[in-house]
Amino acid sequence: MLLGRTAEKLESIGVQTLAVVGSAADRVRLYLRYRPTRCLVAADPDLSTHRAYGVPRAPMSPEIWHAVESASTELARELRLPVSEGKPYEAIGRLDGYEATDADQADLERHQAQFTAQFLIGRDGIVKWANVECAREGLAGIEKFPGDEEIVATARALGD
Amino acid sequence: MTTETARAPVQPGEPAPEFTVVGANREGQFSLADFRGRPVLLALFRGLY
Repeated sequence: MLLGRTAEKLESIGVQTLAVVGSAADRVRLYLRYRPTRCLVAADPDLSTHRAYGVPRAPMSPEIWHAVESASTELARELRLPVSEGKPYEAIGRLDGYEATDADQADLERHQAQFTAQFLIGRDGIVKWANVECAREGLAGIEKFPGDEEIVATARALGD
Repeated sequence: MTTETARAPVQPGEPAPEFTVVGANREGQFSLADFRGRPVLLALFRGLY
């Protein structure tokens, strides 16, 4: 989830990575005990950074929920995980040992469908590249993350 | 799909908005100013639902 491989490649060309997770710091720290990562990770439970950068969110609709479940089922298949009917999250969750709690559920209800995004910021503080989940292909793009190659190639091309 | 945002997503060429977040695997708070002078990939994730 948290960009470990991408961050290492970016670090090798002088680009730092900051991953901001929309949960309380203690929940993020617990998650990182199960899935440590080398990149800098921060917590923003109020999603203030998402708002500042204009990353959209939507009320959780059956359409969005279906798209999320479909993407999770596809991921579970790719990972060859046994999936109980309609519960791909549980299978993926068992991989890292992290179990969602009532606090996580409360965050979901508060945040609804918050989309994700990545911004490459140059040394001058200007945004050089941006990618917002679902902006390119609608709900078919849910849970999709740009590949290492795209991000690293973009960072190299900037020559920043 | 109806989405809600206070503003349109930041586009290339715009100044990066300021932010302050709490470190989860390092102590302290971090803001955009901490990265000034060095390129940074800012990756915004959902919560741990």
